Amino acid sequence: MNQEQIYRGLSKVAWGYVFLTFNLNLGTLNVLPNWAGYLFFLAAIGLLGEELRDLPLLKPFCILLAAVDVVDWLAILVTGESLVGRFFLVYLLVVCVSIYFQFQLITDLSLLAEAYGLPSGVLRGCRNVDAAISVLILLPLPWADNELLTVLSVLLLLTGIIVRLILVWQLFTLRKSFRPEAPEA
Amino acid sequence: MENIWAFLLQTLTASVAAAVLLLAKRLFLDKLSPRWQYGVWAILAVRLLLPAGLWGQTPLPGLSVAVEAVKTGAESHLSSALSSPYAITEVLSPIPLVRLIRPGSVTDLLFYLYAAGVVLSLLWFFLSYLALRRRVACGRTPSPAALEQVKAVAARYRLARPRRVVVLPGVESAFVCGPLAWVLVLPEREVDDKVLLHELLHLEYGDLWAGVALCALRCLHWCNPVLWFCWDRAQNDCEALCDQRVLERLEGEERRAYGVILLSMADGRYARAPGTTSMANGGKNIKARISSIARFKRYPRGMGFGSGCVAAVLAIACLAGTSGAVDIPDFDQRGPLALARAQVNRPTTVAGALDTYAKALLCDSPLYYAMVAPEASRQAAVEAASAPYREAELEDYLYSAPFHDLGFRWHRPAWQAEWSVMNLLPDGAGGYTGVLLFTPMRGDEAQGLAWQPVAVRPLGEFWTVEPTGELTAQLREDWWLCPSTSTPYATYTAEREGLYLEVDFQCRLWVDNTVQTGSSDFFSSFSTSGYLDPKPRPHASFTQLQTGVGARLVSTGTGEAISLPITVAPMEPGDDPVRALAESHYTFTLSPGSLDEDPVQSSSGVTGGENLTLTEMPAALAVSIRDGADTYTWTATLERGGQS
Repeated sequence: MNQEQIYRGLSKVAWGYVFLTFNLNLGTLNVLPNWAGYLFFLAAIGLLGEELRDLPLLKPFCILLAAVDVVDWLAILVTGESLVGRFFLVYLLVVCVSIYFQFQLITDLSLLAEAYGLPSGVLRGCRNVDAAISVLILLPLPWADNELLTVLSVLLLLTGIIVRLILVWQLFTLRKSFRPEAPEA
Repeated sequence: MENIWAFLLQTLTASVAAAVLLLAKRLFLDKLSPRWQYGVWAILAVRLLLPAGLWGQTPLPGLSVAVEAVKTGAESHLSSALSSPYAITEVLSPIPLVRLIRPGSVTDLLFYLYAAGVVLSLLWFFLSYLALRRRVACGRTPSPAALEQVKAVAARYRLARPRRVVVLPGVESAFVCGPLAWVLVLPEREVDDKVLLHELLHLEYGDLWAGVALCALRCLHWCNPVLWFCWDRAQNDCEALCDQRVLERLEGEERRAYGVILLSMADGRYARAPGTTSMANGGKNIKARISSIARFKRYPRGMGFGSGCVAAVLAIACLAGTSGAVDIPDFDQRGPLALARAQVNRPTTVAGALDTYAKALLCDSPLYYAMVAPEASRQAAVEAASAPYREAELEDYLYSAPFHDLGFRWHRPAWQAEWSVMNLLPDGAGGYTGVLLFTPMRGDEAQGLAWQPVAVRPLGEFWTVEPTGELTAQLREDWWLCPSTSTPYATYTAEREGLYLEVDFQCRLWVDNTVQTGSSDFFSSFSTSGYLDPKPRPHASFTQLQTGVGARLVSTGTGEAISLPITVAPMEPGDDPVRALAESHYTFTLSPGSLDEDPVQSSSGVTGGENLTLTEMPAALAVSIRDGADTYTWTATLERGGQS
């Protein structure tokens, strides 16, 4: 598979994570919507699918997550409130799909890195911590009522943000390793 | 489960969990391995062993509302011995708890029928197992070659050998039976090593015990077809996992040969008995297993932790659920669903009960009154809340209410009044008595205030409010709010060292209910006005506290008033007053003057916030009196008769 295609695929994954990690709200309008991130991922799956055997399995999940996020994004834009969040079980099923999607995506990218002799430990570590935090914050604990739990929740959120930032940085670093040689003049 | 409604709630909750798991398994069918596919059924098994609504958590809050609505509708016309139309349905145990009393209604009979079904289905499974064991006992000893083959397969794959191997004529395929005394049953024809490996792996991983557990769960919900479907799927997933384990131990062509063996069983019938496992589990199931085998080695790699996280989220969804905040109905909503929503939102705190009762009065809502009504008056309250809403009744109420006479502001759907409770005194039976006050909203003009004595009592995990007197209008000039002798107070007394001390204590508590609405436009300045939030807050805590303390100190010998610096703090009887004065959040240092008459020393103040710890009248007061260099520390106890 040509290196340029991998480079382009990794660029899309990295930018997809930028959209997933950062939110910029102008009133109720999120100008960095998650669905845009999923569209980047969809494009990346097309580019990297040949190299990574398992990656095309994520395509239906990517479309599903993008569709759900479009609906939620519109709901927040119009009403100011999330629609999916109102349906507990639907919300948790979407969380399941999201955890799986991101976990497998990063796993596949780690395998890609390993296949080319590049380090993948940090990527895998970030993947595990990110998934664990996604589960921990869903635990039905009195987060707001207990001082210790409140501190813990803040720590978890801070850790989550830091891990996401490291992940984005790692993805751009990985991308750099596949930069195509500049054509000689 | 003590009645049919508790069973209904339990089995419906389990069905919701089953639906979630089936959907998740469909989503991850080609993505997560048979280990995960089989393992997630443990969530459903645990769900069935946890009472629905445990710790107020439920996967689907609307479910309890639906059950309550149907129950109230059905039971209000019946005289059931096992269930009450007005009590909240609670699942106390995941198994039926049968009280042997004469059934009073069809719902009681249905519950007995369900309980009998559990016993009969357990008996049926047990007898089926015994019949199989009897057949197996008649089986003949296999040939030495067959025994050697079993021994060799076990040794090759380092698996435990069954205690007994028999050949049973008429058996289609090999199977193992008996969770305690393992028996490997072979057909008369020759059996492939891979089939033996499959059965030995069932023994190795304790699948027989899992089968027994599934059997018990089937019996517990024998009349729920959704759960029977799920357990069929679980048993097939168990076989698929065993196939996976076999394939993990085989190489190259042997894997293909194993698939061919499975295909040869695809036309077989499903005749498995409880307490057994068999490789042949019906043509339809085998087709699904063959699809699973086709995906072997195609499941994404390195997903162990990720699949655990997905399972954990599913467990949170199905086991813990959500705190289930069902919307409180509007004051004018009627019908079984609105009533059920009100019932499941019954107050869980004293402040929440008083808030609900106050709003029932201010909105004239029988629905809100039904939320807080005590046991004795619940039937009448529920009947009133079930009657259709009529606007004319509200208009009648508007003109007859004391709030109208006092000139309170009406802003649909409620009279705009702030409620507060004066002097919540423990009644010695776990409840309280106090006086509910209604005062105009800040900035409103009114001629006075309204008050009503009430009793707040616990009822299970909820609180009820019962008026103990009429709602009375009082003109403003006759009544000054705390601290004053016009409002109720409790007196604490102490007598020592030639001195007699009387402390009048007032404690006014309320929940901040004001909703600020702002309006601004280009030409006018910004303005805000306050409105009462008309929806009850049944789980609220007190957020505001106003105290008033007055003390008189006299000489017992001369009757002469004495003016010495006094400090007061709430305490429990028997506590050390010195410690109470040092550690209490609420310490009142009294200064001369006020509280109307006599040489009185007084203190007053308002405390706000979520963390109020003084939420009832103290049982006793710690008092410190300083006389020059000497400090006397006393305990003043509540005078008999309580509040004045």
